[in-house]
Amino acid sequence: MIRRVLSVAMVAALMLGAGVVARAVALDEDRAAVIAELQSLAQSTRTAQMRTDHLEGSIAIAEKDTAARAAVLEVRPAFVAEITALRVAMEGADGKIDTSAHRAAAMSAQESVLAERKNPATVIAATATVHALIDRVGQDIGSWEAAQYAAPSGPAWSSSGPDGFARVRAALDRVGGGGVGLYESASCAGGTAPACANSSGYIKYRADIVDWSVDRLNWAMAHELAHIYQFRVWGALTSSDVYYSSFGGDPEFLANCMAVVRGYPGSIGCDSEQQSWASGIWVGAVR
Amino acid sequence: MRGVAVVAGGLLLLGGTVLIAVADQQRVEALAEARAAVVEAEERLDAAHEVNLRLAGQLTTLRTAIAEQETLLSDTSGLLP
Repeated sequence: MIRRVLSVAMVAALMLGAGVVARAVALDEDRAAVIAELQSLAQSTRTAQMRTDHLEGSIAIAEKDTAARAAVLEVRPAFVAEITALRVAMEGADGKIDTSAHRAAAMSAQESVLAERKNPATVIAATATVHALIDRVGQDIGSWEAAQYAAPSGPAWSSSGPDGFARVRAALDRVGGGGVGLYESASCAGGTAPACANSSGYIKYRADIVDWSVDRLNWAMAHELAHIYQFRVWGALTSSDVYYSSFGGDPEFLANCMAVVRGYPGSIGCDSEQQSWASGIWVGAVR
Repeated sequence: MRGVAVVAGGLLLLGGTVLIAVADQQRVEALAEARAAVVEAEERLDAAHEVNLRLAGQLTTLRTAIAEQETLLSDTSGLLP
């Protein structure tokens, strides 16, 4: 009897022990799974925080960018207004002065404005440049008009006729003398020279040159226009050593060389060093 | 003698049972603690995602503004051709 009770108790104790161990193992497994989940969550949180930092940095940069662009945009209308005024001024100068240099300067200012994204000072400086260009165009028109009044009175041609005059005029315009006055006259060197330039800034031609070929007319007008540019720097030119050493102090030779530089060579040429020096006179530089 | 053995056996049984109960209690508590930590971490992650979403929206707004400004800055109307 006791033996039976004992064996039943033994089996019960064994089953109880197995149950306790199974529960402990199951609890430990659950805990391990939960901790693994916690670790993966911690990893995700770290990634999210890194993304937050990245976003905050990007926002700071974007805010700076948009503020700088807003500042640049704020001064843009003033620049556009000046460009419009310059265009009007250049249209008014049509047929009077050569505005290609002004235009090139304005284009360069415009390029810098279009490329600017950060510094409004660049746009303000470009606006000032364009404003100065407008003044410059006005001044140049003024001196052109003055040159017209300074010229001898009466029609620009006599025996060469309007068509002949137009031919010479076209040649002078072609070589870059659009704003320079032109008159027919038989008085150049007492009638022996086919054309001459006056230090008051205009050119006279003899009637017979209207029959010259286009190339020869171009050369002649480039040559006379060269004299006009020489007159503008006359003081510096005549006190330049190179003028005497390279050109023998001869304004005619220099004028021929300057015509070569412009691309209208006559019968007299000059070497590359002389050409390089002569090109300076076209832009008012005596080196 | 027999009585002493029964008492000692009973005491050992009682001690063993108490020990098992305490160990089980500790395991249950540790599991509950870990679950609470998971809930907390999930809340933190959700909050971080919410912040990121808000920041991403802000960044998109700024980028749109910059794109609009870029259009205005590249606009050549009224300028020299």
